Amino acid sequence: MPEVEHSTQVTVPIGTVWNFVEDMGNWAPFLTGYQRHEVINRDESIWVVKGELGGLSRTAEFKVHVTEWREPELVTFTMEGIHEPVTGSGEFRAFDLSAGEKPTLVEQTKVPETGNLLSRLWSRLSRWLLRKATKSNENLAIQAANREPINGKTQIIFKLKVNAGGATGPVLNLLLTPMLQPVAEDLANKIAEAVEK
Amino acid sequence: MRSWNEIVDVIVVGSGAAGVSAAIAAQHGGAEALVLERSDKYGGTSAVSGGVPWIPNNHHMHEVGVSDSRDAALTYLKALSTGGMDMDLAEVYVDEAPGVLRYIEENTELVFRSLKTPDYHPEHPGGTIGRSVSPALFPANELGEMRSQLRPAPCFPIPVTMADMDDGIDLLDPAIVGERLSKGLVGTGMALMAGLIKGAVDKGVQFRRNIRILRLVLEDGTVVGVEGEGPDGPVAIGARRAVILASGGFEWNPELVQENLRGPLEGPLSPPFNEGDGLIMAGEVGARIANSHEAWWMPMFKIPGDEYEGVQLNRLTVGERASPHSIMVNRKGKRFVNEAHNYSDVGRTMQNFDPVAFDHPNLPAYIIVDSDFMERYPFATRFPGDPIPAWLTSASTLQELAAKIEVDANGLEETVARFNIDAEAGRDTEFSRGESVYDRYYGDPTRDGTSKNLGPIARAPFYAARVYCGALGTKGGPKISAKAEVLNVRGGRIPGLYAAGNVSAGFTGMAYPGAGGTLGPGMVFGHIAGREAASSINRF
Repeated sequence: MPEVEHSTQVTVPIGTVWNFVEDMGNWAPFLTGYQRHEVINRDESIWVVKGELGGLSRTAEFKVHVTEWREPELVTFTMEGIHEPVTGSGEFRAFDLSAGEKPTLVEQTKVPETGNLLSRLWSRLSRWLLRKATKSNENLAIQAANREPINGKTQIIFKLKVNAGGATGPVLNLLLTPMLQPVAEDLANKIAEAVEK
Repeated sequence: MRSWNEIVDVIVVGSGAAGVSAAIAAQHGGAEALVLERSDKYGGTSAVSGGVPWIPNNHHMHEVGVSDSRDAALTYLKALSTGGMDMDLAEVYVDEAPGVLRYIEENTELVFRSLKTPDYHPEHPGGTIGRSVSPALFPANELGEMRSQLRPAPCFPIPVTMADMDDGIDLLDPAIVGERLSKGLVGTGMALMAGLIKGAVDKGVQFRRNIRILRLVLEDGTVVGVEGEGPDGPVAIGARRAVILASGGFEWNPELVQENLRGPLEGPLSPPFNEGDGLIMAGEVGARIANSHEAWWMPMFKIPGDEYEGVQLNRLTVGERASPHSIMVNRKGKRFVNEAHNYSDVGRTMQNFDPVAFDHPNLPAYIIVDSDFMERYPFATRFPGDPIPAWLTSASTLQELAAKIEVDANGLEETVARFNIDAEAGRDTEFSRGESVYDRYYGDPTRDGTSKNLGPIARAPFYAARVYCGALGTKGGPKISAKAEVLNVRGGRIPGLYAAGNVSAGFTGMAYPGAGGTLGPGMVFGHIAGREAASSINRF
């Protein structure tokens, strides 16, 4: 299952971060390809996102279910395509650096656990696609580069796993991960910028 | 003398296969060629296509165990003429095409192979297999900076070739696809265009994008340049020897579509830049316009949410028409064609006219399938096992399905009942579906005979999707000579002006001879245009 994580620091207290993140409406538009979302209740919502692959833009609906609200540090959720064979999960985690916590810094793309040959191929492909993706998303790369590590008060980590299922799933998963990395970076960085305003 | 922003020997308007083929030949012939592309991506309609030219009597046909001849190819084309084919140009095409294919292989890095794909009317005299040739996967990174300027193919997002179908390659195998991607390979039309563009660049052809050419400049009845709009404002470029129009059809221009085509066009499958610029410019300088009522028809789907270049993406129909357990019906719930036959002629029947009702009875049309189909075969973007997409209408009975899609329910039930009897018997008594080699090529490869295409529609739930009368592109425009010169409506030619590809009047008339019946003539007459243009003398 393609999985990406991105971490950044902000200069505001963890409570400020939580107050912002708690309301989906605050950060939903920061998600790459975001079209709209509909809140059903505190835990459930429907998201409409537009993605692009090979010049083709496709709009897809996802049902997102928040599985844990742990104030002020953790939100976890699952997601499921309403008409697409896609599932996923993710979490938004905040660490209070002023309290002396030392979270592990992460910014990586994980290789799915498949056979050796596939893993090697995937790894080569992933690097190639990642270069391509970051080149074609120059704005995102610039934004990420602008957020150098700082002595912040809070560290935020965004983690996302997406798994395309069905007959085309294995091939789609090959293409998904390098596209997810800029998405995770962009979301985390934009949230950071927003809470610091 | 007027002033130009720049002057070259030969200007090529359009960067699809016809245009780049012309530029390669022009540069090879000693001219300085410049390709101008209207959009921000090179490759035109060719880049989003299957990338397969139809080349009769080509030197690869032995690879699939057949041979061909000039006579056989011409016999076949004559059999499809219905009086509308330009047989003089057909002869030129048959004579020139094999040599142009060899030339392209010798002068670019493209490598082709013959496909087992049958001609689109293989049972007609002279019909065979192997005339359609597919380029091998191409390492597009060789384009360098131009790699990101290569037009992506929305319906072929992974590197595949039409030869994969002959080879039985599992294109859902991530190891195969992953290895191709990691090598930077592209397939189908992207491979064709990457190879042609690389070949052109290697010869010294210049490329310029985001320049829309809107007018031809005439001096004393001779075309001497072009005018248009570029990123920095108006541009005027002089052509010492010739201007070659290769700017695609007019399928994205609603006015030209309404005024010219023989019937309704519900959406093109090409990139949305083919607005008839070339046809308009040619008409403006007195070109003789022909075959403008025709297009390369294609029944197609529109999946809500699919977009390409900011507009609705229109998708091909293939297996949905050819696989067992499916039919196509009109508003009365009646079949109206052998659904499995070639897309262009199936699409044409969607425009049939009822003189009494005074309308097009086959518009709108629907593909109807049952649960056996959905369990076994892909349907547009949905694969077996995937959730049922929202754009498919489903119902537990045919009556209910008919009501939902506003089709005559009794008509649909009667149609399905008759089709099911025929399917069980293995003989389509209405439209002979499955009896042509063509039908079977696209049917279920695990079955034999007519059962490749025939299977009852019996198991609920039943599903329906609207099918639209689409087109890969139009095939009318300025009529050309054997030298690809644009002809004058008053007789003779328009000096300095050539045309090739969908911008020009397709010599095949209403016929679509085989896979690549649009790319093949485009590349061959493009090559002729470039060769002839290069051999002209400098006017200034």
